[in-house]
Amino acid sequence: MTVRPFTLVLAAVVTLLAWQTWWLGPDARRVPLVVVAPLLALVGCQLLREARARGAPPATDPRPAAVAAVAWAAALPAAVAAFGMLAGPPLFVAAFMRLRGREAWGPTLALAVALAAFVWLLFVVLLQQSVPRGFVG
Amino acid sequence: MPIESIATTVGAAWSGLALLLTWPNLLCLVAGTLIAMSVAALPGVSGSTLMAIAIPLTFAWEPVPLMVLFGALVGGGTFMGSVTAILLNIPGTAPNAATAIDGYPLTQQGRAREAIGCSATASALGSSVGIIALILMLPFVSRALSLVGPTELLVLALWGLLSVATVIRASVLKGLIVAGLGLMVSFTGLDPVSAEARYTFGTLYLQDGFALVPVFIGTFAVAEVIDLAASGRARVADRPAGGGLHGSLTAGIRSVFRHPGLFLKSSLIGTGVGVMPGLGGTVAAFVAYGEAQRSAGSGGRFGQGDIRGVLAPEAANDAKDGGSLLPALAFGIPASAGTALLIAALQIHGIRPGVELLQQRLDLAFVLIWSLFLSNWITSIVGLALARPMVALADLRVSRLASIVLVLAAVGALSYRGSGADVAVAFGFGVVGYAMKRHGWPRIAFVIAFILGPLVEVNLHLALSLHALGRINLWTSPTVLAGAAVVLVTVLAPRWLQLRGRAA
Repeated sequence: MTVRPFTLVLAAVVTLLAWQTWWLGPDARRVPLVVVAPLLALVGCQLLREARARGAPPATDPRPAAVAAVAWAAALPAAVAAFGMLAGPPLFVAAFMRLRGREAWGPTLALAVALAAFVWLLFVVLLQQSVPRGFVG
Repeated sequence: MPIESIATTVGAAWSGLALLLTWPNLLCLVAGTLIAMSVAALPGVSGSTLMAIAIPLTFAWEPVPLMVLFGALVGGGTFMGSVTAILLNIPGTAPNAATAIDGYPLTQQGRAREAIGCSATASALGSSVGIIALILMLPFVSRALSLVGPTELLVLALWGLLSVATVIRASVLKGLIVAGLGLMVSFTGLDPVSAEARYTFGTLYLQDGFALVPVFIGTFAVAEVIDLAASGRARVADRPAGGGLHGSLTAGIRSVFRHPGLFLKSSLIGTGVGVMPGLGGTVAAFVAYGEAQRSAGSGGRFGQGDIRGVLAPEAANDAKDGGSLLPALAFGIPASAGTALLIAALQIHGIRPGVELLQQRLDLAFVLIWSLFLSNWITSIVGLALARPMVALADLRVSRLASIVLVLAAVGALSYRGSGADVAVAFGFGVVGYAMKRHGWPRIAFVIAFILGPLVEVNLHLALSLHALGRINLWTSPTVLAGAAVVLVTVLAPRWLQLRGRAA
């Protein structure tokens, strides 16, 4: 069995979209139905192709490094949600550079402060837009 | 072509140049070019990343500086990728991989300056050929626009969509699936005819559909950074730039003029490939390289340091920018990731490609064209002088670059509508974009389908309504039949070009 998990996820998404399309009104579903019906067939072909592929199974998937990279990327919106747009990004940068990049404190703090200043300048001074606050503070 | 059409074009070209050369537009041109050059020198970070971040940061801008900046970002990114390809054997962008084949051996032979001189000259002159071809074609296309109705727009959108989906190097099947998914994602929100909510899962946020900016920021900027971080490298480039810059710069510049036929042929290949949606600079560069190798016969030293192996791909890669602007400006059909992002930026500023742009605001289109033209020349001239320090950028630590790009991506997504949900959507699409990249699913087909979705849906509804009213017959319409023939040719021709490039 060489079907990749990503293809299975895609197949699930397309099936869900097809199911939702079926229950739409006639006007709303006209164009999506034209797209999703062949899309279902194409995804089926891709699944078949992967299932019938010979040779070595795909490499371990997902790789630990990839999982870590995705987790770090998810940490930024989480930090923004928790601490707001002014405090979240510098906290994320400090954690990312110290823990993931093993950087010294000097460049870490310099970049964190510079990016915080940029966010403040852009939203507060230039755009005069309210900066979202986090649920922590 | 009538005299007044030529006069209008010349007048608009002059107005566009005058607009470009005023303050602060000139600053936008120079700054945009320098920033694009710096980013292009970073292997693994594409110009699309920069453009995706630039869209929300330029919301408050007037259309003219916006056009100048995006022209500079498109034009400024092409040449510098060849410098890292020549000096480090690491292509700054995918099309520069063809340049590395002969560029790096030239560096090993102590002829790096010759290769860079050739690349800079071929890039600047090649882009000029592409832009001249674009300007020559514009009046014809502009006149044809008045004949374009919903059926024609639908056929054009399908042409763009199918050709993008079928020219993907990995798999046609994957290209078609991803294009279909892009269309389905673009249908999220209220139906334009009945206002019925589709695929919103009961959320208020999705009733407006997915916004272009967070989707693009995620698919390009965030996905690239995740990929870079997942590579495990400490620095952007995995090897240092060793040795000095040796060789003769003038010999490199002269080499372009020693091979005028090859230069012109490569530039025209680039322009032609650029017009076709989805093919992009990589195909242009490799087809031109293959053609240079074929025409040299047994007399060449391709792969071992032949200067023509640098000339041909660089001329083609830069010439394709002019070609790719034609379908984008005339019909809103993006031919590449760069033009997809350009169209997104224009749409957000209320500028619609097509009749509105080419007949009512032709001067604005020329601002973009001039900006592209001048940024290509600035890149080549400045790039020659700053090649060494620019290459040093590739030595940047991944943690620093990733921090900066991720924070800019969050800032860009948030500044679009001030909604925190847009930040989450951007990062969600970043994970999806990374997974697509890692598993060989083409992101370009996804974003182009996402842009074309509303165009396909609205024009299909209109065409069907006109058909039902008896105003047109979709089965016998000459436009539909001719369009179907063009779609067939366009879908088949790139496969043939790819096979030629691969064989080379």
